Amino acid sequence: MNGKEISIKKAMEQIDVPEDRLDAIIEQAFFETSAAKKKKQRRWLAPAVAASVLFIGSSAAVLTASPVLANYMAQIPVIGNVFAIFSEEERGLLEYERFSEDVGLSQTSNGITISIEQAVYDGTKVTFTYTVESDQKLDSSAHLTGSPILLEAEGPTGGMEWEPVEGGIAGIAEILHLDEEAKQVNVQWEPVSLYTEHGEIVGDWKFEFAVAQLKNLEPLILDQKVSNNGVSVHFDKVTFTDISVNIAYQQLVEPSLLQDWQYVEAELLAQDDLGNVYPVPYNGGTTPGGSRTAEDLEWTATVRGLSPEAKTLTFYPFAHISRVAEEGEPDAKRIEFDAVEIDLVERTHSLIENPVFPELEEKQE
Amino acid sequence: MQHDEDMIAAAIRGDRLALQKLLKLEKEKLYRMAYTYVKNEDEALEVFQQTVLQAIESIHQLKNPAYFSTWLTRICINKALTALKKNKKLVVMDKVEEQVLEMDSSADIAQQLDVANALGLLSEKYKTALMLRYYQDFSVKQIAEVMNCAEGSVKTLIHRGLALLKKNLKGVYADERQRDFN
Repeated sequence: MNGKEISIKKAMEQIDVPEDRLDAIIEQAFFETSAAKKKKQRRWLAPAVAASVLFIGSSAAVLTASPVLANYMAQIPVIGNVFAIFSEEERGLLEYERFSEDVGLSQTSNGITISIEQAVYDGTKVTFTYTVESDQKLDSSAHLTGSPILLEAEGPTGGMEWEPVEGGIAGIAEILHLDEEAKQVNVQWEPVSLYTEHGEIVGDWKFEFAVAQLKNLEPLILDQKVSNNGVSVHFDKVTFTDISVNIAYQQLVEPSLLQDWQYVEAELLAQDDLGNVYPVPYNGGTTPGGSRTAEDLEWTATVRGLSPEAKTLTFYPFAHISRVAEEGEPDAKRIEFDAVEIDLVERTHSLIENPVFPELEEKQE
Repeated sequence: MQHDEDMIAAAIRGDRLALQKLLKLEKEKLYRMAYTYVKNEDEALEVFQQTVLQAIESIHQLKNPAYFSTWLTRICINKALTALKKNKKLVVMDKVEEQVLEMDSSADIAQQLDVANALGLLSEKYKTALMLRYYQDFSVKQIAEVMNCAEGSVKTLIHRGLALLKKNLKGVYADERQRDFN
């Protein structure tokens, strides 16, 4: 053949695809968009890379975020209560503040002081607050570039929100990491720059700190199955921290149901004995090996902001099953199941047959 | 890629799992398209992430399931072009070349790399038209929808784009032998 064979297709197929990271980005996007968080500015964390290598090679001080150690840290300037700024929209964040540990790390570079204030890990995600202070007035475009990573996690792992406040910026970062066994996790953050529309100030900041997981009570094994119309929800177990309730459940679908229907998605709603209704957003679902149908899924989901006065918490399962008709409009229906009530004091559970489903009050945007 | 229209219809009416499955099927093509524009992994991942978010937020606005692929591709291209505008930085082709050559230094790979580089150096319009035609396998009509221009313009862009590639590479165009792009 004279000359080279030109093939755009072949050329593009040579581009290496980081499949795992793409999958993680997709899953993360669905997780994050399941909650309404639109008012605040939000940025997604870029995927973390080779985290453990970075940790071993680092000589920066590692702070175990225990209250004792934190007390030795220099007092840092505080721009209001960062958790409070973000708690208006997000249920349960104020409890996160109550149970969070002071980190108290502060570094200044090129006139920009970045401080890590508080951090908490509830077994599903690390949440920490930070402030940025500058001699110069910062406009609303100002934000930090460079994402925190969790040394224990791989892939893209969370999100950041920030708001301009007097004297600087207040921000909150979340890094997802579902591991109820981990006693603590290590956060590493090297902000690259303070970015504004008018210019970018590059600096030299580096933070490393450990966050202990809030104490879990022993998980309460539920092993309770409720069924309706060919769909079953099997409650596996529930675990409690001071700020969250994590529940694991499976949806199981009769193969015969999928002859008529295509998709099934089982979700939960929760209500305590005081009448408060809670969303139970899921952290993610997987298809277990040996499933009978493609719609058999295992879910974990988390309730945040449970009232401290609540004595019981009831989970109301419901599912949407849907299909697309041969011609015309898609078709869907909702089915509801018996509920499971958890006695938070006695740590027992019981079945509530034919329950009246609570309604979740939608927050106004 | 032809998708199950039922699954797309389900995604449009709010079935998040269906949309998730569809995005996973499209991820490689989207990423490679993004990469061809921005030329580095981190930015390509960011473009991909923004594409996914935009798709989740606006899938309900898609009227006809048949347009899913062109709709999604347009989002990706727009995000990539926005990223390029923001950065306005020079693309360092040598670095890309090194990375791929490390994996396999065969002559064929090097040739494909030349193609990728040459494609990357074309102006956005030619690059987009050629990628959509020969990588995404879109019809001229679909490309016209994505690029928001007349079908005749698409044909011109493909002809000229190919001519530029051939001139730069002095090669035989393989994709063309398999398919008439009209």
